[in-house]
Amino acid sequence: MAAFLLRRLGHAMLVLLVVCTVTFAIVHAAPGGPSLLADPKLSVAERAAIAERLGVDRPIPEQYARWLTRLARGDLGNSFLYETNTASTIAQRLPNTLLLAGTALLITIVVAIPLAAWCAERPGGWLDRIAGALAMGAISIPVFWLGIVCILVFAVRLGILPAGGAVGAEGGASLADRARHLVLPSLVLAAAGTAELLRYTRASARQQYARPFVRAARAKGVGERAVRWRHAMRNALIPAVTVIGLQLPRLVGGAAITETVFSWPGMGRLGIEAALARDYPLVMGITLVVSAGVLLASLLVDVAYLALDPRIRPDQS
Amino acid sequence: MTMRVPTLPHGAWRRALSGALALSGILALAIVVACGGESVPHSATGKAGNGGTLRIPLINDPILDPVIAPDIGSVMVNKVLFPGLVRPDEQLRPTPDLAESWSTSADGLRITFKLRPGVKWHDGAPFSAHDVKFTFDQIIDLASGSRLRSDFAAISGVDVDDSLTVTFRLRTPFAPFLTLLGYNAGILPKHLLQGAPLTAATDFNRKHPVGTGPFMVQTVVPGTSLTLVRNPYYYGTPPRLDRIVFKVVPDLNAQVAQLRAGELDLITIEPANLASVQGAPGIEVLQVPVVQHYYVALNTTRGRFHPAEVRRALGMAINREAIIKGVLRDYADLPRGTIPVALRDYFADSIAPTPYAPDSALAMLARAGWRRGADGALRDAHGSTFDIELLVDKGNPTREQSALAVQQDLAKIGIHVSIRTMEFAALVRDRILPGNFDATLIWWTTPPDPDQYAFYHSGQDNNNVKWSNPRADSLLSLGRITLDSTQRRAIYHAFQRVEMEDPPVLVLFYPREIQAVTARLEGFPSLGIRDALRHSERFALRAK
Amino acid sequence: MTPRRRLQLAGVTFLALAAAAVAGPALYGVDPNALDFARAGAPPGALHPLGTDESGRDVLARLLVGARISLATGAAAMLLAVSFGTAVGAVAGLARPRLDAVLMRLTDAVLAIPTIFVVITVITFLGPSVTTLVVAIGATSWMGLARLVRGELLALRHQDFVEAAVALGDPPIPRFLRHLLPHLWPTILVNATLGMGSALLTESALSFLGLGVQPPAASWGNMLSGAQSALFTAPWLAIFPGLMILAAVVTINVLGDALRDTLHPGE
Repeated sequence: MAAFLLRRLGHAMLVLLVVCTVTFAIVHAAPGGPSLLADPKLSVAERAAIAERLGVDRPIPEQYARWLTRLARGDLGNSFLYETNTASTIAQRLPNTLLLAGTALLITIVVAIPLAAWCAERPGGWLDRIAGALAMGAISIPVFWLGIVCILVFAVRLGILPAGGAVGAEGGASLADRARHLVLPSLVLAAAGTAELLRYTRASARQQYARPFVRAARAKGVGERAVRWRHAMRNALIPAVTVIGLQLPRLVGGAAITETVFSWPGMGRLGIEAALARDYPLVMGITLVVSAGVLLASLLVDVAYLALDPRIRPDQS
Repeated sequence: MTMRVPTLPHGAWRRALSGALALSGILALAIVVACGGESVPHSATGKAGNGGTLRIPLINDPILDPVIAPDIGSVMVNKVLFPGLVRPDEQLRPTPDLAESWSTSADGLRITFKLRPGVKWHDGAPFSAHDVKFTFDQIIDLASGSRLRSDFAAISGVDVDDSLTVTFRLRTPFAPFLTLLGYNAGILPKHLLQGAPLTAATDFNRKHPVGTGPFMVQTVVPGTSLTLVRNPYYYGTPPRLDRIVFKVVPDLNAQVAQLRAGELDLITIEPANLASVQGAPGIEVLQVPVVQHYYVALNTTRGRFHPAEVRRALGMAINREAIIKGVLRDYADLPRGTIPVALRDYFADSIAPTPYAPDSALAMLARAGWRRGADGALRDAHGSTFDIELLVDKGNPTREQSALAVQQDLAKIGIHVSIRTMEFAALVRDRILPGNFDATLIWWTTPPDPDQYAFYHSGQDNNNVKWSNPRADSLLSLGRITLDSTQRRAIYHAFQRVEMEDPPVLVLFYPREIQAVTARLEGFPSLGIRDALRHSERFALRAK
Repeated sequence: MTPRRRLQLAGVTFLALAAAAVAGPALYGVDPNALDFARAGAPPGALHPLGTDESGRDVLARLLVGARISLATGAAAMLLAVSFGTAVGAVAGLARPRLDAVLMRLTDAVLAIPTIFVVITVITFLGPSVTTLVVAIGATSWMGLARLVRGELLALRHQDFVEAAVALGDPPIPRFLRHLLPHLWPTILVNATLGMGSALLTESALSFLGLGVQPPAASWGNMLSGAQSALFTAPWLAIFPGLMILAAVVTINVLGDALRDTLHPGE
């Protein structure tokens, strides 16, 4: 197990290097260049001075070498947009994204798995139909749209929840205040993922119910609860774990749109700002952090496979 | 064959449980870390006036230094934190701020300012002429990261005469000087910033800025908000508000929703948003002419935009009134030349606007050799069609719709316009700066002065259309060194007449800034929000 | 409703949508790009059945033209993602561990790059054309299916019938097609239907960021995105493209479900 983990970690580092190189190439090849240089009012001399200060007047391979050298010393460089250290800029935003994405993930798991078990057992029942229709709706509505409609209904019309931000503007950062601000964005972010997990899990649980060993268990007189959790759901959870693993990067990266709609001070929004402004150090820093997080999550998913299905051996993954 | 009936081992549940615990742990940690805003303790915050908190949106975290700030949001905050020597009044004329009075030498090359005595920085340190010299030494230093250098290129040096007297030495007389002093040139504290590059002063720029303005920074929560409280040392009329909060709300539609939900008090909007704020309870819509002109830039190095008559004809083929009514919802003014109506002292309203006259346009184009063929397309003697690629930056509905209207109007006289939307940075760097474009729909926001030397004098860096007109060149050169306001007005009126004959660009409209504000707001001067923020001590909110 | 009945219903609806996209603009005959500021923001009525937008363009005409762009973008991106995803997943699930490891690390790498930044930079690099959108969306949405397919193959390969097939010496590709692919169909179909739906949604999300199909061309996504500012005053601008996206995604999903139930009546 330890050897397996070590080898996977080694692979992950390699993948990370590839990811960074590819991202660096794409970002630098993109037209436009840093938005700092795009102010049409700058004189030629001013523009040249800024380019020199940012180091973007150097050839791209040289810039990449510099970036790698600095990275080796643990320095992600200074953001163009913010004139601040990239690592600390990300560190300020990361907890907010983890909070939002973590809450959404928790909602997804807590709602989808039990609901899927229930629905798979009673296909065509009233709850199955309602859940199916809601899930269909949730995966069919653009997330920004759901967010805006929620703001209009709950903040503008009803006035019961805040329209945006992570804390009240007047500095009230009590837990209750934070929780109120978390409600709409986390539900909106969780909606599509919950629907997706529900559909996959329900589909695979139904397959399990049809499989001979479940029938056999029932025939042997095993209780319904035991059939559900020990036999049917346990196998249905294997694809569910995969689906959850796949949702992780989307939760972090894809939270960007939810974060923009709800003015949530997270890393996803920062990433979009950085990409649009061609803030090279910030884009690279965020890519590095998100990629490392996702690789770690994928490692955890593989470990979860091992836990759920002892027939899958480490040497096969 | 036997059927295997797998069951779940106890260990798996234990692991699942510990996974859930770990997840909750991460969440709890995230909550704790995310809760910790960076509170900046300050001493006294002044006595409460008639109070209230005014909330204004920003689209991202500002850079709290007026000399290096690159974006509009930063500029807005810095106008509150960092007063300049002068500030614009409601006629956009410079009036005293940190300077009490000033005098100009007979040759116009030396301007001496008497500073207001007893002014203190937010940290209590005394303000003096050394701070003024330090600030302008930074501004004119190419290596400092200064974004204001081209505004003050005329300065050859700054002398401290005594602690409250400072003299600027200029290379030539420079008429826009005072206006520019009141525009973005906030004064920085020498005692906190000397010795290191301005861009490296991260703690100052991001968390602990120190200015002399009526409000000072109390709390900065990155990505969320910036809370300003009253400055107990403020030298002017004591501020009426308790606090100004700049909230980071990147999306304009979200800003509108927050205004309606009572979470913001003052936003500027696009014409497309008007319908959602007009008639909303507790919200007022204000409009102010701003110093901007929106135009179609025609690359005059392209042969088909010559002679000048062709550009005039194109201008007459565009129905500006329809654009102003349809796209701008009447929140714009009908243009003459490139000097907008907001510059009341210089705008020549005696000049008749370019008429919408597609038939006359066709006649003028015919004189220039362009005739409509059987297919309706305009062609020259060689049979080539008149095609224009019109570039527009993406994401702004006003400019996109204006581009569509221009396309449709020019199609009526047989000119094929293809619209290409691009990201603004790519538009500027890859097309405009290298001169690789036919036409772009773009705009200039200028200081409240008619000097447009940098944009329309031949050979200047910002003259992207490469327009060259000898008479305009001499008028623009004369206008910036003429200090007498009557003579200056005559010069710029003459410049606008030249522009009507030989249009450097096709000006489409002068937009008005649309401000959607809470009806409780008082004391807000009738100025664009950026200039209005120079008077933040006058703002107040009526009690609910 | 029996699966067959649902299949017929969803199939007919889908064909109707496709027909509207193909023939609609010609049949309706109204220019989707003609500006008419005098009639901007007109509610649905006799002259404009679904009203006009903020520039006075006919909403129905734009919906029909938008159907072409949106459905074609969604279908093309989905096909790209599904074929690539299945192929990678199948090879990884069946091949020797070394190739499997390489493919999975590749999948991890693509999965680990935050998709939204890749899409943003690729689209700004190549320009937001329909082809770019298809490639960008397709190239960043195959990984899920690849991992699902591989995961299922790993679970299946110790099942007795597979072990039996191996013991009988079936070569890998026929073995995959005959014995394994049928077991993968539910996953592939569910993923394909969800994929087409999510491609439609991705396009609209990109429109929200200003990177989708570019105005003046119409797509359901950019119509929906452009309607945000008029929610209070001209809700039809949002409702109709929103309904089209909803209808299309729901239809495609029901179609997928019904197909699966028809192909696997026992489950």
